Amino acid sequence: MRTMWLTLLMLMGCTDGPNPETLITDVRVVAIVVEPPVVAPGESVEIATLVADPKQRGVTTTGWACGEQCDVASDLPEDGWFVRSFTPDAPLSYWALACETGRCEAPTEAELRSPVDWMGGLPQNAASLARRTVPVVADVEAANPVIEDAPPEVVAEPEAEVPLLFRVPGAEQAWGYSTAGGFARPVEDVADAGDAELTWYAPKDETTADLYVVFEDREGGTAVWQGSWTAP
Amino acid sequence: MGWMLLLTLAALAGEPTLPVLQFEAPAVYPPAALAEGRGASVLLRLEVDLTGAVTRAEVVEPAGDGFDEAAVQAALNFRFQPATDADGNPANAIIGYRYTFEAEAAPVLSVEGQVREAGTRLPMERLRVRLVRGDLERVATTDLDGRFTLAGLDDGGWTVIAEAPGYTTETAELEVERGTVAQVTLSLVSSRPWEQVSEEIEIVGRREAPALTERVLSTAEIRYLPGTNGDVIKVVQNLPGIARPPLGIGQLLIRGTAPEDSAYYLDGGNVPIVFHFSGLSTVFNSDTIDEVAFMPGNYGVRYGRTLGGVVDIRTTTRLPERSRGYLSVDLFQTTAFVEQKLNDRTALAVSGRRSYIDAILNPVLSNGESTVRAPRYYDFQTRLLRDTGGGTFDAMFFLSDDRFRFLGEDADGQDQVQVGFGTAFQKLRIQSREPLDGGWRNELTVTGGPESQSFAIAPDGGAFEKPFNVNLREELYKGAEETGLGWRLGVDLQGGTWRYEYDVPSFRTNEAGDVTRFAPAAYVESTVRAGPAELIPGVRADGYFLEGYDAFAADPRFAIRFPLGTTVPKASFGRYSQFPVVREALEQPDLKPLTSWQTSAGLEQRLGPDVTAEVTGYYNRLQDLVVGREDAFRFFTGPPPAGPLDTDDYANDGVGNIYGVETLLKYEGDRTTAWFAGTFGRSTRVDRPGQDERLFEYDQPVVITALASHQLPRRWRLGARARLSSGNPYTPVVNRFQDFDQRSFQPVYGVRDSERLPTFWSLDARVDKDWVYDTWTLTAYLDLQNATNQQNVEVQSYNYDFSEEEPVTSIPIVPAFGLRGEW
Repeated sequence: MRTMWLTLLMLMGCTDGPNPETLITDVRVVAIVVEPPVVAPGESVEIATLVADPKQRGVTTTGWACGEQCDVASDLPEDGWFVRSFTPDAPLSYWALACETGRCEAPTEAELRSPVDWMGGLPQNAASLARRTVPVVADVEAANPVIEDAPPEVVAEPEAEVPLLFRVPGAEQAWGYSTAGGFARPVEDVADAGDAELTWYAPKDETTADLYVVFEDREGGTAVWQGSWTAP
Repeated sequence: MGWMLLLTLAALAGEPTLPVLQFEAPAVYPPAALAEGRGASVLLRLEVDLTGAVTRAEVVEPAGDGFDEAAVQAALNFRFQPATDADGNPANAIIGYRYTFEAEAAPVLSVEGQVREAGTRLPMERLRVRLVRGDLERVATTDLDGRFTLAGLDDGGWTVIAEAPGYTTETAELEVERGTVAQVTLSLVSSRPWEQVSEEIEIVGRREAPALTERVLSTAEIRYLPGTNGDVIKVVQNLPGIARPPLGIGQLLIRGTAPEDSAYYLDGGNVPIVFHFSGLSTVFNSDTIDEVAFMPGNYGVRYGRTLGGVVDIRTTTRLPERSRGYLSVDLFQTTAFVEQKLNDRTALAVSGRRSYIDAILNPVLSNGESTVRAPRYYDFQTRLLRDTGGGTFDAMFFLSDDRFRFLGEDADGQDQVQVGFGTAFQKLRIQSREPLDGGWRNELTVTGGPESQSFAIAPDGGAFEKPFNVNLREELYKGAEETGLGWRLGVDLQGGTWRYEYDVPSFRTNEAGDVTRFAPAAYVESTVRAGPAELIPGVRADGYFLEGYDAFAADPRFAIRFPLGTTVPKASFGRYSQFPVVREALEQPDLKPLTSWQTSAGLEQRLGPDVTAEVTGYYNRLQDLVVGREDAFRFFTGPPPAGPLDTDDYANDGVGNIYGVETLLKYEGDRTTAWFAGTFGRSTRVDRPGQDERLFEYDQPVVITALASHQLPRRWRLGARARLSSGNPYTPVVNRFQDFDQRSFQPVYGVRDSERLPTFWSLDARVDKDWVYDTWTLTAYLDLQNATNQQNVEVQSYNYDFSEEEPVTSIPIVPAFGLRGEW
C-alpha cells in the first residue's frame, strides 16, 4: 500500500509552463549514442557521450566498461561530445562520468567496478554519472534514426513560446532539454511519419541557452539535435 | 366486591382507629379471565400512610392469571381516612385487604399507556405514572414492557405525569370517555446521558495471556473519541504497543514489527484486512462487535503463525434487546445498520458502508492531463444470530472492496489506468458455541472465502494475489474458576489455494503460480490457580505444507499473574513462529520458520476508584528472519526497501532485537474518559552475518498518545487527542545517476535507514451534540483532524532527478462534519 502511495505522489507532480525536468542547471550527461545501436560479437562500436556544461566551468569526461579488465579513458569533450570505441564479445555495460574539472579524483579499480558506490562520494552538483548497455547480438542490423528536418535556428523574444518542428523517421520519442528556459514536457511522442513538435519556452532573464532534443526509437537507436538561443 | 379488616399495627395505646376506605379504585380486569367469565380473590397487605394513601401493596394470598398484579395496581389507588393513635393523631397503619374480582361487575378499561426512554425506545419498567384531575390522583406502575393500564376513571380531561430519577419529567393530556380506551405514550429524555449506557463493548487491551488484562469501554465513550470516527477497532491505534503508520493509512505496526507480521481475526478466524485503504474506517461495523482483543505480544496458544501482534474482533453473542438501526452520513462515507429481532431467539443484522471520497477529491486532485480516482471502498455484513438455549449459533457473511486508480489519457484521449490498486474479500463465517457437561464449552468456527489484491501500472504491468482461504477452529475450553484448573484445547486448520502473478516489466518482475497450502495446528493450554497466583503454561504445534515445501514449529509459552491487592504483577515468556511467504518458500524449500522469543513483565495498579495504571517491559529476540532477493518493488507484502538491495538467494540469516516499555494511565469517570499511552522502545535488525546492526524501518523510539473526552450539559460532548511519535528511519539519497536503459534517474543511497524523519505531532478535536426525539436520536459532530494544521513529514520523497528532497507531508486540517440518526 505504501508503494501505491509513493507512486501516486510521484505521478501527481504535473504543472503547466516550462517543465523543470527539462532544465539543465549543472553538468549533465545528456545522451549516450551508440553507433551502431546493436553490434555483432567482435565488431567495433562507437559510443559517444554528450555532456552539457551550463556553468561553463570545464568538464572532464571519463568513459569505461569492465570485463576481466576495466577499459577506462578520460578527456575533455569536444563540442560537448566524448567518444570511445569498443569491440565487445558480450553485452557491454558502459559507464560515463562527467565531472567539473578537478572535482573528481581518478577512479580506483573498485570504484570503476562499483560506480554507484563511487558516486555516493562525489559532489552532487558537479558530477553526472550515466549508464548505457550495448546489446551484442549476431545477425542483427540496426541503425540510429536520422534527423531529416529540424529548425535551422531558434529565434524568439524572451519568455516566448517557441514551437520546434522535426522529422525523424523511425523515432518514437523526443526528449527535450535546455540550459535556460524549458520545454513544455520532458518527452513527446513522435508520429508514425517521424514528425514531432516540441514547445520550448524562452527564458526571461538569461540571454543564451543551449537546446538538446534526443530522439529514441525504443530499441536503442538514438539521434541528437543541438541548437542554441540568444536573446535578440 | 368487599373488603375485610384483618390486622392493625398502628399505635395501640388508648383507643386508636383503623384506616377507613374512602375510595376503592377499580382494578383492570385481566382480559383472558374476563373473557372466560372467571372470578378470583386476592389477599393483600397494604401500608397506609398519615395522609391515607397506600404506599405499598403486597400479595399475601395470590390468585394468579394476572389477578395479583391487577389487585396491587388498584390498591395503590385506594384512598383511606388515615388511622389515628390514642391521642387522635393520624398514624401509619398496615392492614389486610381482600380484593374480589367478579366478571359480571368488571370495571371498564379507561387508559392504556407506555413509558419509554426517548431516542432508544427502551421500555422503562417499574415506573410510577400519575394521572391527575383536579384533586383526584390515580397511579399506575409500568410492567416489564413499560406499559400501564387504568380502569374506572371518570370521564373528562386527565393529566398524565411520568417521572424517573435522571430523566426529565414528561406530561401528557388525555380525554377519558366511557366506551373508549384512551391511549398515551410518554418518552422520557435522560438528563444524565453519560449513564445512559444500554450496551457495552469491551476493549481488551494488551492481553498478555488469556484473562490477564481486561479493559472495558462503553460504546458511547468510543463513539465520541476524537480521531477514531466512532470506530471501535480504530481505538486500538491509541493503545500502547502501536506505532503510528505513515500517511495515516490503515496498518497496525505492533511492537517493532512490520504490518505483515501481525494477524487479524474475526472470532478466531483469519481475515486479511481490518482497515479500508484510506484508514478512515474499518471493514466491520462497530455495532456488531462485542469486544476487540488487542495483543501486542506474549499471547496464548490460541494464536500463532505470526511474529508480531494479534487483533481478534469478537462479535456479540447476545440477542439485541430491541430492533434498532441507524443511518450515518459524513464527509467521507455513509453507513447504514439495521438489527431486527425475528423472534425471541433469533436476530438478523445487516449493515453496509460506502465511501465517496472519490467524488469529493477527484476534481481537486485532477489536472488537465491526469485524473486521480481517489480511494473508494465499501463493505457489507449480514449476520443471523440464534440463541440455542445456553449456546449460540450464528452465520455471518461479510465482504469488503477497496479500489484506487490514477488515470491518464492514451493517444486517443481515452482514460488509461496509470496506477491502479484493489483489495477485496468475501467471507462466510459460521460459528457454534455450546456449553458442555463439567463446565466445558465447545466453540467451532469455520471461516472461508476468496480474497484478492491487485495492482496495475501503465502501460502493461499488472500483479495480483488471489488466495481462497478456509479456516477451521475447534476449541474446547474450561475455566479455572471452580476447580482451580482450567484447560484450552484446540485445533486451528488453515488451507486453500493461492494464485498469483507478478508481471511488471518496469520492475523487471515476471512470476506466476497457483499453489495449494495447508497449515494445521494444535494447541493445549492449562490455567492453574495456586493461591492468588494464576499460572498458564501451554504449547502450540504448527505445520505448513506447500507444494514442494514443508515446515514444522513447536512453540511453548508460559504466563503468570500474581494479584497482590490493588497491584497485579505479571510475566510471560514464549516462542512464536511464522512461516515464509509463498514466494520465498517456493523458491527456497529449505527455509525454516521465522522465530521470535518473546519475554514481557509488568504491573497493573489501581490508583483509585477511577484511575488505573499499567507498565509492561518487553524484549523480543527475532531469529531466522528471511532475507535476500529484495526487489525495488514488493507486491503486497510491505513497504519497498530503499537503498542497496540484497539480491542474493533467500536465507534464514536475519536476526533482530525489539525491546521497550509500554505504559498506560487511564481515568474513567462518570462524565470524562482520559488516557495517556506511552511506548518507548527500539527495534533493530542484522540482515546478514557480519553486517552492522541497523534500525528497523518502523522503529519509533517514542510514541505518546493522550486523549480525553468530556460530557457537557445539554448533550454536548468535547474531546481532544494529542499524538507525538518519532519519525520513521529512512535511507538517504546521497547522489543519483542516469540509467539510459530505463530512461530515468536512479538514486544512489547512503547507509540504510541511517536518517530519521522529523518528529510527528498532531492535535485532533471533536465536538458532538445530540438531539433526542421520541423514537430516535440525531447526532451532529465535527471531527477536526490535525486541528493545528501541522505539516508533518510522512515520507521522504525526491524530485525527478533526486537532486532535491520533496518531503510528503501529512494531510492538512480536515474538518469532518457528520450526522447520525439512530432509532
